[in-house]
Amino acid sequence: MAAPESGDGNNGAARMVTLISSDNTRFEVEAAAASLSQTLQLTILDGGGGGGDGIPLPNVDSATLSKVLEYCIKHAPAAANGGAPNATAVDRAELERFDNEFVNIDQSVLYSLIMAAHNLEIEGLQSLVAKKVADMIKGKSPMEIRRTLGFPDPTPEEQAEMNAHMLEYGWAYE
Amino acid sequence: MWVAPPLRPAAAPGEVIAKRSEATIISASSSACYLIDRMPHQGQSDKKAPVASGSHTIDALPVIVLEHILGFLPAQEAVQTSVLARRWRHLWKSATGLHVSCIVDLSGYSASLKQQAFKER
Repeated sequence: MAAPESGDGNNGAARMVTLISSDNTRFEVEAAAASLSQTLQLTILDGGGGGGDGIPLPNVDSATLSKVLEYCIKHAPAAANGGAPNATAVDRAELERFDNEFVNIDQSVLYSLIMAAHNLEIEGLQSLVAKKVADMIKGKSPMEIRRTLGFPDPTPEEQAEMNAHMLEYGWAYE
Repeated sequence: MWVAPPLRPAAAPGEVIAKRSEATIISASSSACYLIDRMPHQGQSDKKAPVASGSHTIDALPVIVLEHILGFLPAQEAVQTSVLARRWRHLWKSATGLHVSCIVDLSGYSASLKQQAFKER
């Protein structure tokens, strides 16, 4: 395909769309970036989000949406190249570095992000955050996991259930 | 230049968002406009969890998202999350893409697991 060297493959200026967060903040972003969201892609393909209209996202607040868009903007060029089969090792390393830094954030923000990624169907972002949360759990004992994830200490009843479970699934605790 | 909206207090201290996107905030709109058809509304996509992006604890996430998270854990560790809360008890069984590795002879275990699976049917 003879795509231009730079740009996103569109003719001339890239098409922009407007997204409106739940707290009514408007974000203007390239359609190619917003289209990383499967949910938005259909609307955008139908011509939505342009001009004076915006696409309301009633389940995503502005702080979360700005993070989501940061991810989309960074990943849009690679996505436009079909998963970037031609990407250089440097490009891939740069994206990986970005991703690592991107999820190095407070837990509550991670959960807001994964919810937004789930609602907007942004597969790469969902997996990135899910993997990060899994990494927070990895290698920890059940009590350490509880504390890491902010669960209250177990009640005596819950402790008894935990013990029973550990007996039943002893192989998982060896 | 894009101007970062204020982060909610729960955001990580020192989190940098000013340099982030080229997205531009145009103005604050007062009308809610229409909803995206395919976007789940609060409480619709899951039995319990809200789907708004303001969910600040892991337990507020819907089952499908939790299962996705557990899918990145080795099976053994996914099973251990059963003890976190009742809601987590059986999550691991349906986690997508559980990583199972075998470094010991599991022949005895697999037999007992089969029995277990049979009993649960």
